[in-house]
Amino acid sequence: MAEQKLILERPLGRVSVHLSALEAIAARAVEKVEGVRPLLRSGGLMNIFAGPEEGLVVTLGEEQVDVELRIAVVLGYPVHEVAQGVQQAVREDLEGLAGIKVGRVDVFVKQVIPPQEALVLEEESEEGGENDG
Amino acid sequence: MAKEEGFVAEPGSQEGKVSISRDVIATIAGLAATEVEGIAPPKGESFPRGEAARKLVDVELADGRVRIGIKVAVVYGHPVSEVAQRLQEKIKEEVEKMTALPVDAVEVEVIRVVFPEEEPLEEG
Repeated sequence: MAEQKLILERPLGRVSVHLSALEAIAARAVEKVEGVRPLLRSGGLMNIFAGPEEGLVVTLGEEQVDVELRIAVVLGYPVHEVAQGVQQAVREDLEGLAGIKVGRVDVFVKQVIPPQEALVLEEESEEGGENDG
Repeated sequence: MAKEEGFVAEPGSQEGKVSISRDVIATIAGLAATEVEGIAPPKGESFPRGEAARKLVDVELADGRVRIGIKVAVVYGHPVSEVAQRLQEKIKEEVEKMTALPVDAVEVEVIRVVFPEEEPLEEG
């Protein structure tokens, strides 16, 4: 199957946006929220920022997209607020920053992570080139 | 008269006709794209020119009119549909100015988003 695209009909012709591009924007939005970490799975890290099948999925609607996210929350952070923060950040960035209409943003909190493990994760992800500037 | 493959012809006059290679149009479109803020080549530092431009730019001719399809990346932080529309306008303008061929449509395919920090920059 060819890569899915969001199709926008414009006066000068069609604009199509690959969903993977939108997933990259959504993933970046999630990274900005405090208290969220990639999912931890036995046998290693499941990075939610790595790809569509791994925790962040953008699906196609009519001239809009829906987002589904699986996250882990660091223990000590209010889970509900963090999840709402994620919903808000993803919607804001896709709509405000990318100018793409968003339908639903569903967040599934799959795990909580003890803060000391979260620190280890942070170091690992920094090695991967993440930088808060 | 035999129609040469890969060329887009202007309606000829009595003094002869001018034919423009599709690759030329593709190159013009690619150059126009580099001038639009928020648009980046999906790979490498610049849009390919000449024959290599075919990979990213598709030029179609129907009844003396041009349709262009182009694959691009959008720089993170720019509104995708807006910069895509600006790109459409820019390409139409540039191609029409430089070739005098009417451009009917410019289809833009955003295949990825690039993050500015992917480019090497010096930071403390």
